[in-house]
Amino acid sequence: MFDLEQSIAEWRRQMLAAGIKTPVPLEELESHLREDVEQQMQSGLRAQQAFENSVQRIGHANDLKSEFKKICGMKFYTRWMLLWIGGNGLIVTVILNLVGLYMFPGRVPVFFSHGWWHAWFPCYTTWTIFSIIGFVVGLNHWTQWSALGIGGIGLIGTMILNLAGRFVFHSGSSVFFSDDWGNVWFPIYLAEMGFTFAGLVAGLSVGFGNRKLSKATRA
Amino acid sequence: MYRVSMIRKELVAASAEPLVLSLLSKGESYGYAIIQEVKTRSDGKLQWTDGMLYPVLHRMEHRGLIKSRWGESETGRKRKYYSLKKDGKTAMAKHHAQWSLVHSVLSGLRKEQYV
Repeated sequence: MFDLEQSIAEWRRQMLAAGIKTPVPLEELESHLREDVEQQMQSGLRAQQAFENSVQRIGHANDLKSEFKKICGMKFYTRWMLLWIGGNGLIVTVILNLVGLYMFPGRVPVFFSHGWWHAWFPCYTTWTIFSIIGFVVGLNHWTQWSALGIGGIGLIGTMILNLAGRFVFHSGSSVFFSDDWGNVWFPIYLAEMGFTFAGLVAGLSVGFGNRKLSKATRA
Repeated sequence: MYRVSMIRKELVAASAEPLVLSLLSKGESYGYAIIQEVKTRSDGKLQWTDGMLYPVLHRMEHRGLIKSRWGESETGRKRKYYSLKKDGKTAMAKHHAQWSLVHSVLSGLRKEQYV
């Protein structure tokens, strides 16, 4: 004997197993399923036939999952990715500076050097401002260009400002030409570049996903 | 005049957004009703895989074109209602202009064939 409620419960289990999330969108799909079944039964169809038709019309769980994933996944992923890129410029540098202080006791990390107020403060401030602007732009537009921009500005901007600092503030040594470059600054910049590069790749892949989604669903 | 066969899936996908926007411009609605109305108006020639409308709706909501709220049907069942937002109205106007252009180019070419 066909039991509609049991069949719907089984359908829900299959949807959940395929990764369709609850309450949204599973509740919405179930509401649709019930409405469709009800309408068909009112037209004279038996419950089992109506249920089977509806399930077929709603489509396969895996297909639905991949369509939903493109939307929900992108939003979540993009926000955190941009937050991370924006934050890493400042936080990672501060952490690595402090690590450098303990790892190389004889050396002077940037935050305690003579050049800090002259060359480093403007440099870090600019970098931070760029990161924040990029982050805000990214939140509003979600394009691969904003992620690319943040990644690129973080790296290129710092290099330019480093070099500029050397000429503007003659007293402050630029990182690229200081004695500490090889053992303290190189690992720091390497780590920064790693983060920036990872952000860039993530930005491009989101952008690519975005384009594919546009093609699939936009007029 | 040729008999219109089932509309192929690329065109169905392309027309989903303008159709949903236009339907919602008449007032709020929900997934099942949207599907039924499109089916009726197209004489059954324009058919979505029912479930696939929902990712489209969610995507449009994510882009700020429409908004949703949970409500209840006449029989007390939970239902998610969608309605048009300001950006959705702008997007609809753009879609209409573009589809009208395609239509007028096609019509113009068709007329020339009979001259």
